[in-house]
Amino acid sequence: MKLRPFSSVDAVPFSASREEVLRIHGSPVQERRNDIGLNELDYGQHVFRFQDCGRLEEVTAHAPVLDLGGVAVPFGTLERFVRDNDPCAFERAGFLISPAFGFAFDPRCPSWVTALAAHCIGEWEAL
Amino acid sequence: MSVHPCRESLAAVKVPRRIIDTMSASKEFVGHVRELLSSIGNLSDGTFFGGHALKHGGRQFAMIMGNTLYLRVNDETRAEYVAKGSKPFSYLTKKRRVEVRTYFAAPEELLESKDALLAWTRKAISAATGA
Repeated sequence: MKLRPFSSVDAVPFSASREEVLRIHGSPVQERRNDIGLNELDYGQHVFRFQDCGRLEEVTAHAPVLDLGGVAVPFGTLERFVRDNDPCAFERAGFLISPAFGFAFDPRCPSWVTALAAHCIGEWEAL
Repeated sequence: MSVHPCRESLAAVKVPRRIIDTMSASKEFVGHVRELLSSIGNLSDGTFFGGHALKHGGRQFAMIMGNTLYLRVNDETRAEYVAKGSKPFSYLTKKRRVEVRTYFAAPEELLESKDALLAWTRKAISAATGA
């Protein structure tokens, strides 16, 4: 997974619309409304989640290695990396959230990482 | 106070609870809750993922997903919800069902009693502010 925090995930920008994601990736394996009221396009290795207004909220991807631009971090060392490099990191419901790097993940669930739009950090804090 | 028409209509068409809970916050239900809480000052609204957030002094103390109101709890108040049979907010991820044990569904009876909802809401506000 190539993440440019709050900017893009695997070359898909956070400004992308549902239609743009469909154009890039084609038909999803599954399309559904999830438990937190977001509309999911599930491609198996990538899940894009949108608000009803079409705003892209988050992208979950299978990420054995997370490429953050200047550094590539294996999932197995991601928790340590975040704790060492993001003093603002916090935990909610079993997830570790990194405001500095713009993602959330559950260390017990390899190797899934969720990239967050900038406005989502506050929602995670409110959990 | 009678059951809110929105809830009656949902019951009348026998919408499965599971489907209701995955809808965005309904405007009618949000309006009903806001009306019940109208005597509490300094309230504001926001989005919370695909749902609706209720805040007091900028601090989120409740959220609405579909037609379910969830209130903020702390270690002291959580047992009151459990005793009423209320469930924590939960959602499914790729690997597991996540339980968010800081938000529990408001017991049904609260939505039919302004005084009861106000009392529980004040506790939720305290839980949110750490007071």
